[in-house]
Amino acid sequence: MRRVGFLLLLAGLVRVAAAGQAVNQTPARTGLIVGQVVDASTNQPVPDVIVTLTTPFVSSNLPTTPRGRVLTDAEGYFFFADLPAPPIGARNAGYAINASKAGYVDSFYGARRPGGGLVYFDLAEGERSGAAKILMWKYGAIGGTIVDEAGEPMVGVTVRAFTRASTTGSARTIGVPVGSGLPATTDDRGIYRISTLVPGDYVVVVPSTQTTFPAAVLAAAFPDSGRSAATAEMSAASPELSRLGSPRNQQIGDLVLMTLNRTAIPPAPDASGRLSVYQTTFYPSGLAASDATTISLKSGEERNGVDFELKALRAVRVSGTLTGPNGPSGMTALRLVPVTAGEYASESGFETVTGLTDARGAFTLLGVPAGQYVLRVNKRSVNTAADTLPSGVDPSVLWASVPLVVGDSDVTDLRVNLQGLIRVTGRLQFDGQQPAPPVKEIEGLIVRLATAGSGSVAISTQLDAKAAFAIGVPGGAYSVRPDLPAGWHVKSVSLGDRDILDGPLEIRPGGLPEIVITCTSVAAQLSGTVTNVQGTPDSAATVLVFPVDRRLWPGGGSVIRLRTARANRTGRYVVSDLPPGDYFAAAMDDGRLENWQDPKSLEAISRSATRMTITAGENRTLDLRRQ
Amino acid sequence: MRTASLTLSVWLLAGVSTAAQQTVRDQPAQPVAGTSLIGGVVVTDERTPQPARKVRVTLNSVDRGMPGRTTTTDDAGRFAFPNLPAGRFNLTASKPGYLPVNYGAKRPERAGTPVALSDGQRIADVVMKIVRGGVITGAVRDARAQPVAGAAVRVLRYGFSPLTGEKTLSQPSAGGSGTTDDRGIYRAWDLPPGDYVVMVTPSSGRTSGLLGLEDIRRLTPAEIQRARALADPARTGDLGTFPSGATGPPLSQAPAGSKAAYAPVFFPGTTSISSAATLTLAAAEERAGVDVQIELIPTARVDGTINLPAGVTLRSLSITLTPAGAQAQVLGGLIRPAEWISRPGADQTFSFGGVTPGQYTLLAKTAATGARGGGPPDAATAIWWGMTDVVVDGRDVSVSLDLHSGLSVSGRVVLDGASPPPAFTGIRFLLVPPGSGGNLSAGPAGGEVDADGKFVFVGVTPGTYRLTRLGAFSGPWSMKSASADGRDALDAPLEVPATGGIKDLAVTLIDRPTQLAGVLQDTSGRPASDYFIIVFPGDRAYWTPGSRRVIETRPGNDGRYSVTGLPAGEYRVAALTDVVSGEWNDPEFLARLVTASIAVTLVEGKSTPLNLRLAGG
Repeated sequence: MRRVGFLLLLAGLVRVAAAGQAVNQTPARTGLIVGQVVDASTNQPVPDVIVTLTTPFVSSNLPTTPRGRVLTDAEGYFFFADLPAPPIGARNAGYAINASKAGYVDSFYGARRPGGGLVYFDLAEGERSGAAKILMWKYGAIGGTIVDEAGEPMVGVTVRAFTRASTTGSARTIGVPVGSGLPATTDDRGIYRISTLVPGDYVVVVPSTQTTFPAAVLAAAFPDSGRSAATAEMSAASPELSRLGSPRNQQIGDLVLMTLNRTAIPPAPDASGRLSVYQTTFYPSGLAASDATTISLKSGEERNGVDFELKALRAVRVSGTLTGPNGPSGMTALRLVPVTAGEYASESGFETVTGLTDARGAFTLLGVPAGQYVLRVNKRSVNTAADTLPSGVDPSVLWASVPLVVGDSDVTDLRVNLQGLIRVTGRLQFDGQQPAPPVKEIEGLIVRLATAGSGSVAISTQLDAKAAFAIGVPGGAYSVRPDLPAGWHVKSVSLGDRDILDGPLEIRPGGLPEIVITCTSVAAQLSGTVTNVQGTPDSAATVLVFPVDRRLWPGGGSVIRLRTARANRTGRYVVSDLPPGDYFAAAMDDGRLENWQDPKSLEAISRSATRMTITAGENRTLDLRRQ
Repeated sequence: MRTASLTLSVWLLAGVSTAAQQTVRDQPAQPVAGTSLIGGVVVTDERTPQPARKVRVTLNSVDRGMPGRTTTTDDAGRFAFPNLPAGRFNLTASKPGYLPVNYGAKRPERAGTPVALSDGQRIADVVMKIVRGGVITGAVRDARAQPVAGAAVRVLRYGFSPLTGEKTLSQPSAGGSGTTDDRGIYRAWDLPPGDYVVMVTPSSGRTSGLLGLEDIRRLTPAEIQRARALADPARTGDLGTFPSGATGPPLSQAPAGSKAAYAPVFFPGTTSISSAATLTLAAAEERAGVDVQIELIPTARVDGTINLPAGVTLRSLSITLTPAGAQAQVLGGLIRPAEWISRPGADQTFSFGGVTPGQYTLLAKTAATGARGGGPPDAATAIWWGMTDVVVDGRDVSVSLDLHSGLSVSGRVVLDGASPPPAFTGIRFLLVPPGSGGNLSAGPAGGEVDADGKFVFVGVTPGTYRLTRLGAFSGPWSMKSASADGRDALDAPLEVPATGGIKDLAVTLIDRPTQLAGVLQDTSGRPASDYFIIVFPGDRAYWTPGSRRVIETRPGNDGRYSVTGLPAGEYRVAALTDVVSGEWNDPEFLARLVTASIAVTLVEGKSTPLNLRLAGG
C-alpha cells in the first residue's frame, strides 16, 4: 500500500510540472480535508453544493483527489484528498474552500455571516482534518406589485434594492445596488420579485429619469440611411437612443422626451402641453432614501407586499444656455440630480432629468418636479490648446455644478458657465530612518483623488521622478489616496498647515496650496490572539480597531483608522499600517458584525473595548477575549 | 383565394412612384409642418373594448418624406398627430404587456396598411386594437424536486430567419427571457402567438479564474464514508488511495463518481431539441405549469494536439468546439461555442473541460490578419485551418488535428449592361455558413469589393455557404447570378471544396431588371388592399429557404403592387388574406399555393403587367 501511494505521488508531481505550475517545493501529498455544508439558519445539511478548493500559491489545476470541483452528497459532505501542506509562514497560508449553490449566497470556509470573509484552512503535512464545516445562507426575496395612479399595473418597469449602508455620511443613506447586473423587472401583471438578496437591510427603489433631446438633434443622428450618427455626448445624456417615430420616445413640440427601456412611460401631456412624470420612488412612497422604509431580510426570508402606487407628478421645464470659455457649448450633456442623492454611494441612476444642449448651447429639460437639485455638466470638448495650460490638467475637460431650486413654474433663461478643471499639485516626502526609495520605485506611482462620500469616482495621475504630481479635478470634496513604494506607509497628508489625513479635501476654484504626503517606513502594528469565554483560541472572531475620536467615525470621512482583522484558525489576528493615535480595540463574533460601522454600534462596542494609544512605528501585542 | 385574369397594364405609374421615392430619400429629412391631421383612439381587444391609456402611437411616413413622430394616448385612449403634410403614413400602437399592432393589420406582427392623407385632410376616427401578449410560466426543479433558483430560461419560438429563410428558434420578445426566482419560478410574457420551446440553462457555479475546473465531480457514498473515517482522529494507519474517477464507461446519466455538469434542458426535461415538446400558444393565452426538471449530465474532456507542417510557426490559433447536427441548426447562434486560444510559443495542445454529450465540430483556425474594414485582406497572409467532427458520450476524447494551409474564394463582379458602372465602395459580399441563425459575421473574413470589382475571402474552411451582400449597388444595377463551376451560388449554397478553394466566382450584375406590377381588385372590381401577394417560381428546385425568387408584398390602399428585380423566368402569383412572416420559405406552403395561383413569365428589362381579381367565395 505504501508503495502504491508513492507512485501516485510521483504521477501527481509530473502532472503539475507538465501543466507549467510554479511549484518550487515538492511537498508530500498526504493531507485530507473532509467537510460538511450546513444551512446556517436551519442547521440542516445542504446537498448538491459545488465545492471548490483553491490556494493562493497554485493558480489553477490544484493536484487534488478528486480533481476540480466536487458536489456535496445528500448529507452535505465533501472531501479533498492527497493534498500537499500549503507553504508555512506566508500570510494567508492555507486553502480557501468555496461553496456555491443556486439560491444561496456564495460562501467560504470560515464565513460567519452571509457574504462574510473567508478563513484560510491551514493543513499540516499529513494532517487529516474533518473540521471543514461551511455555513451557507439562503438569499432573501422582496416582491410586490407596482400600479399607477389609475390602479393599472405598470409593466416592464425596473425595481432595484439597495443596501442600507452606513459606511459614508449618516446611517440613513443607501449603499450599493444589489444584483446591479440583474435588477428585477415587473411582469405583465406589474409584479416584481428581487430574489438574490444577501440577508441584511434594504431600501427598494423604482428609478425614473426623464431625458430631453432637441428633435432636430435626433433627426440628424438617425438619418434615413438607418445608420446611427449618435455622438458620445448624446450617449452621455442618454444611455439608449431612439430615432424619431420610435415608441421609445415622444415628441412635445420641437423637443423629444426619451423613455429608457424598463422605465415607466409617463402619461400624455395635458391640453396645454404640460407634462406629469413619475419620479424615482423609494418604498413606500418617498422621493429620497431618507424617507424610505428599511426592509430587514433574514436568510431565506421572503417579503411580499412591497407594493408601490406611483403617481405622476406635475412637472415644469427648466431651460437656459450653457456657455464655455470659448462661447456657447453645443451638444453637451446635462444632468439634474436631486440634492438628496449626494448622500448615496453613487449618484448614477438617480438623475431626475438629463438632457442635451442644441447646436447653439440652448437647452430645455422637460419633466422637472418641484425640488432642490444640482445641475451637473462634465464635458470633454474636442478643442484643446495643450501648450498653454499647466501639465497634468486636461484642458479639454469642462465642468459645472450649480445648485437649482425648482418650484411650481418653469425655470427659464438659466445661464450656466462651464469652467476648466482646478489644478491641484502635491508631492510625496519620505520621513524616517530609511533612505528615500530610488526614483524608479517612485516614478509612475498612482495618486487618486476620490470624491468624498463615494468611492465610485476617482481621478488619478502619476508621480514624476521628483515624487510630485499635478492633477485637474472638478470642484468638490475629495480624499487623497496615494500608492506608495513597498515598505512605506502614509504618516500625514497636509495642505498648508492643515492635516487632511482624516478629513476630506475641499477643492474650489482659486489657488490651492501644495498637498504634502509624508511617508514613513515604520508603521504601527497591532497583533495578538483572540480567545473565547472558555479561554481557547477563537477562530470565529473579528477584531475591530477604531479611533476614540468620534469625529473620525463614519460620517467623518476616515477610512484608514476604522479597521477590521479576521482571526485565523488559531485565533491569531494582525492589524498593520495603523496611523498613530488613540484607539479602541475589541474582538467580536464575526457573525454579528453586519452593521458595525453604524455609530450607534460603535458607541456600544466602545463601552467594553480596550482603549490604547498607538505611537508611530509601534509594534504592539494585544490578546483579546471575544465579547 | 382564387385569382383572376390579366387585364390592362399600369406599369408606368409604378415606375414613377419608384423614381419619386429615390429623390426624396437622398435629401436630409427636414421637420415638415402641414395642415392635415390623423387622430383616433386605441382600445383593447376585449369583448367590450376598453380605451387603452399610455399607449405609444408612432407615425412614420411611408416614403420617409419627414421624420417620424410619436405620441401617447390619454386616459380616454385618444391620440392625434396635428400639422401633418400630405402623404402616406404607417401607424403603430405599442404598450408594455401588449403586442405592437400596425394600423390595418389583422393581428400583431402583420404588416399594416398605410393611411393616405391629402393636404388639409383630417382623419380623426382611426381605431386601433391592441392585444395582450401571451404568457408561458412554470417552475424549474432539480432531481430532488427542490426549486432551482437563478437558472436562465429562454422561451423560444419557431420562425423563419428573415436573413437566411431557415426555420430556427429565436426569442420573440424582451419578456421572453429571464432567470428563475428563489422559488424556481419563471414567467415569460409579451409573447406573440406561435410554436414555442422552453430552454433552461442552470448555473454551474463559479468558474471564472478556475481554469480546468469546468467539471463537477459527484462523490460516491463509499468514498465519502471512507474519507470521513480517515479524518476521524481516533483512526491512524495507512490512508490508501482514492480512485480518480476520470475515466469510465458511457453513462446514460451521471451517477456518483462521474464528472458532471448542468446542460441546457428543454421542456419537459430533455437535453435534445428533437425530444423537446412544442407548445402552441394562442393569442393572449397564458400557459401555466410548464415545469422543467434539470439533472446533472455526464461530461467529458476533449483534449488534443495540433499538427503543423515542419517549419511553420503560428502567431495565434483559435480553437472552437461548436455544437453540430440538427440541434445546432435549429438553435442557430443561441448556444455559444467553447473557445480556446493558444498563445504563441506554447505547445500546440488544447483542452476543453465539461463537455456534455453530443455532436461537435472542432475547428482550429489562425486569425485573419489582413486589413480590417477597408480593402480585402492580404491574400498572402498565411491562414491555417483544421476541422474535424467530435462525438462526446461521457468518455474523454483525444483528438489529433492536422492543419492545412487556408483556402480562399476569389471572384469578380461582371457587368452585363450599358449603364455607367456602379461604385463598388462599401459593397461587401458575405459567405454565411448554414445554421448561423442569421449571424452574418459567422463566415470567413474578406469579401470587400475593390475598385476593380474584385473580391477575395480568406481562411475559408470547406463546406457550404450562402452568398449574400452588404450595401446596395448604385444606379440600376442588381445581381443576376454568381456562378462558379457552372452553378449559380445565388440559388443554391456555394460549395467550397477541401482542396483548391474557388478561384473565379463571377458575380454578374444587370441593369435591366424585371418588373411585375398591377392592381389587386376584389370580386366587384374595386381596389383590394387587405391581402398579401406572394410571387414564387414555377420550378420547385428554387423553393429553398431564403430563395431570392420568392417575394412577399402588400398592395397599397389603392390596390397597386409592384415587384422589381426578380431573376427572369417562370413565376406564379397568389393573393392571400393572411400569411405568417417567412412562411413562404416552407416548400409545403408554396405547394399549397400552386392551385390558387396564376402563371407569369418575367423577362429582363421588361415590365410585365398583371392585374389580379379575386374570385368569389
